[in-house]
Amino acid sequence: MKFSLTALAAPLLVTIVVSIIVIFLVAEMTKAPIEQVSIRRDQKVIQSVMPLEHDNDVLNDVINITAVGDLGSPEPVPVYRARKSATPVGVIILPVAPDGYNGPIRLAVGISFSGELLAVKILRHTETSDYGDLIHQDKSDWLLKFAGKSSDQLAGEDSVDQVTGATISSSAVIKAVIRCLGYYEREKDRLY
Amino acid sequence: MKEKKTDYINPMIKKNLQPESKPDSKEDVVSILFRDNPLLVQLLGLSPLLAISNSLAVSLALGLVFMLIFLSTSLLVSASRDLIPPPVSLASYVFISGSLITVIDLWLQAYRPELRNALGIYLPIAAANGLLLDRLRIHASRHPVVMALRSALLHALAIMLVLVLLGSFRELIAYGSLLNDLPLLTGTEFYNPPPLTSLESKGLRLAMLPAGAFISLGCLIALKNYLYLSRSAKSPH
Repeated sequence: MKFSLTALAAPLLVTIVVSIIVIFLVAEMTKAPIEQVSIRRDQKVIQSVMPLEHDNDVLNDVINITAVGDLGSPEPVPVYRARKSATPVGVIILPVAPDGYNGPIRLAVGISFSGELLAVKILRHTETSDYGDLIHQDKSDWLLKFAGKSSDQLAGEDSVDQVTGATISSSAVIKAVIRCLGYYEREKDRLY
Repeated sequence: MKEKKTDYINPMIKKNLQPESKPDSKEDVVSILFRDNPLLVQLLGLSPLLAISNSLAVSLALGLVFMLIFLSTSLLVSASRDLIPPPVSLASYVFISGSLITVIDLWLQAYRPELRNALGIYLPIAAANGLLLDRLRIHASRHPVVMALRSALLHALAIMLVLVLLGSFRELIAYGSLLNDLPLLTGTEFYNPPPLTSLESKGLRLAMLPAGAFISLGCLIALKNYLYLSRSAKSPH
């Protein structure tokens, strides 16, 4: 059987155009719910790095701080404040590790009022999953080792090791946490 | 009876010899679900099955996705079978199944995000599933809508059956549980499956790893062959 070019191209084109329209419409319809999902997922990670008891609405008690050198991002970085009966309990800072292997790694760092490191979690990263899985809280317990460490301990040799196989990603995270702790020490008064 | 016998022993070879031959217009339910189950005989489109089937709930979810995609693509392909000329048919099938999978994908991202994460890359690649494209090309594009839908339903059930068997077998062996991940399906948000390390003591971890998938599938094929061969040995043709 022989077909002319238009007899072949027309049905295929119609299929393609209809497919594109359908996908576009569904994408428009699901845009808002998908955004909601990612916002709620972020909020859950953010709340999980503040284990200390508090009674304020942390997610809405927020200021935005711009400190490129310390928090790693030219954009303003949100700082959430936890309080108990109006007394400051600690902060959750979302610093960026700009020197990840495949792009910046956004972290959530919980710090108590006295400056103790409470928890570190990864909020967003673009590392390939081979590397990302080695450091991400869902796949590895590496980030658990950060809790309670001082910035000197983190900078030292033997407290939190870099992850073999994800050296660049893990050392980017360690450096970002150290800078974030240093920033808290210096600018603590501004944050509450 | 004799005809069917040879069909059972070497369906793949027979198919390769006559790739364009019209299959029996009326397909046998028992044959597709059990004896000639396309997954256990032709071994087509296995990658998502093997990768996903380490928990029953996720297996069920993938089975439902396959059910949806088989029925909807077969309906569309069969309804438009006089409009799409053969040389471009495969290309347009890929567009049809690709856009339908994208729709399912977006819906899952919006309303079952954790399930979407569990399915991972195996959801989008279901659009180019070998068995699906094979069925569309050989069956749906040559039969009226009702027959195409019937065949699609049978093949989706065949996939579901293998998925449920593999899923329950592997979950039982690896985790010692059944339907432990059910919240993924029913839609409790932010359900986190328990970490792997805490489960090591409960079962054989091999069953949950990819190698376990191949071993389980091998066992399933062996069991099926054993059942049918021992039956046919008793009744000589």
